[in-house]
Amino acid sequence: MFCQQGGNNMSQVIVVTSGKGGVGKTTTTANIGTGLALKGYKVVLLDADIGLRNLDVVMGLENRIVYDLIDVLEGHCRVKQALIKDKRYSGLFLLPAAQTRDKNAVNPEQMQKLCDQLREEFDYIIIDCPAGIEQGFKNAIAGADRAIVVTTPEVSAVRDADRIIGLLEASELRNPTLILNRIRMNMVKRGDMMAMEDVVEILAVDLLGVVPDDENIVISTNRGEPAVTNPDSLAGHAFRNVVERILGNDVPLLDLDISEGFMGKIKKIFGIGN
Amino acid sequence: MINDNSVIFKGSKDGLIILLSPDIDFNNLKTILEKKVEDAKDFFKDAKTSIMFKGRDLTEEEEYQLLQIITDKAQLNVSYIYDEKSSMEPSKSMPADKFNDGRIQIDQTKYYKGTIRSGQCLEFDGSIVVIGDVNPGGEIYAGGNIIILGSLKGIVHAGCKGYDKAFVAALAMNPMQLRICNIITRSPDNQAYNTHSKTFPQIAYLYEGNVYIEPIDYKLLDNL
Repeated sequence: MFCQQGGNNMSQVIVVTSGKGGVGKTTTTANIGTGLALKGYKVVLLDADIGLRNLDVVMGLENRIVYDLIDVLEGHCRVKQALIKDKRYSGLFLLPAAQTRDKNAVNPEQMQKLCDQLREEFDYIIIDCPAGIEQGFKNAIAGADRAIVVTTPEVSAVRDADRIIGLLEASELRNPTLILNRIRMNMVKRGDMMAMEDVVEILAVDLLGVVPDDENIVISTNRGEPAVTNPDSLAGHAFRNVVERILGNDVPLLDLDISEGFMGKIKKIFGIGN
Repeated sequence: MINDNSVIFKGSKDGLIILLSPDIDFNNLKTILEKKVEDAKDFFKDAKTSIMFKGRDLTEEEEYQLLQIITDKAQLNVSYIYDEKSSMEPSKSMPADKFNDGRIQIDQTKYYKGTIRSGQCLEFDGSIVVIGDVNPGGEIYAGGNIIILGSLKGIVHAGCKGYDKAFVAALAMNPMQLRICNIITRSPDNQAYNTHSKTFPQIAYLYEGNVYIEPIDYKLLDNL
């Protein structure tokens, strides 16, 4: 199931989706893509969020956009002309969405064709899916081999993730994997937040990773530098583990207890914590 | 024929442009026009169009006479006559004439009041003046010049139909991307995302294939 480097007929198209907005699809896409590129794979990030593009900003490549996805699909340029090479990592490319159009400017057949075209060049094609279940979602999943569903430990996000998993299965995208984003272990311990076991139990899919809530994400997003490259960021570490799991390596889940802070540790010693 | 180029017909999206040579006698011009219209009679037949005379200062009487020739000889239905600003001396404005040969008209300007936000796009064959800001992700494409009376943070393309003398001026110049003619430049990387540094008016122009951005002063304007 997992791709080996160089074998382009083995290349994978992965769609990152969630249903609900603001749970971290774009951040996840950027981090997974960058992580895979750091591992030496040839990766293209495809922004399917036409009209509300963000991936270029998160990657810090917005000032390089000349042609976009729509230009490619409408034949105004070749794919190679629209691909933006990342400024830091060789092997990482971005195909940006158009900002002046909307999701209806594209149809699933076109996206499928584009994905197949990109397969010839790249080991991994990571698609950033827009929020919602309408045309944009249908476009984004059209060419995908597998799906990663991102959710946060909130009832509303989990509800939407459940809906999305159902729609993915209906579209023959079986066995999506789950990334639980922005978890806060101290809140989970207090019982104020859903634990990952609860989420996995509801959604009944394999867990690809758990990413803690991390201030570094805000900083790295604003700077256009994915957190996965930051050795000090806990979320970055979590994304590095996710990348390992995508590559088929068995990595244990991150021990998130270290994030509870000094006072928490003191309390633990004296046995007042839990 | 004395000089075949003393009267030239040109189509534009606004109608018919008639370029008149400023160098020959008016009566001569009339004869040439008459002949030309006669030649193109079938082409013009029963067409409805607006007409612009260009290249020469015409008195009202002269304009009327020329119009008479056209309507008589070609059964052309002239709906509207428009002219360039008559105070301008068309005969001496070589750059504008040269420019019109490229079928672009920078002498027309579109004004836009308000903010151009992300995903909004303003396009015009002539020049564009925006009274407001251009936010990141906002796009402006002009055949001629672009002037932003506000902060420029989006993408602008001046001279997008190939006019390399086009310029971009803004009160605060922080474009994500700035294009003039066929040259594309982008903002430097690692810029802080909340910068408010440059707040003086600047102008960008193309010189020998490079885009230069400089504060606006009179010496620069003379050289443009």
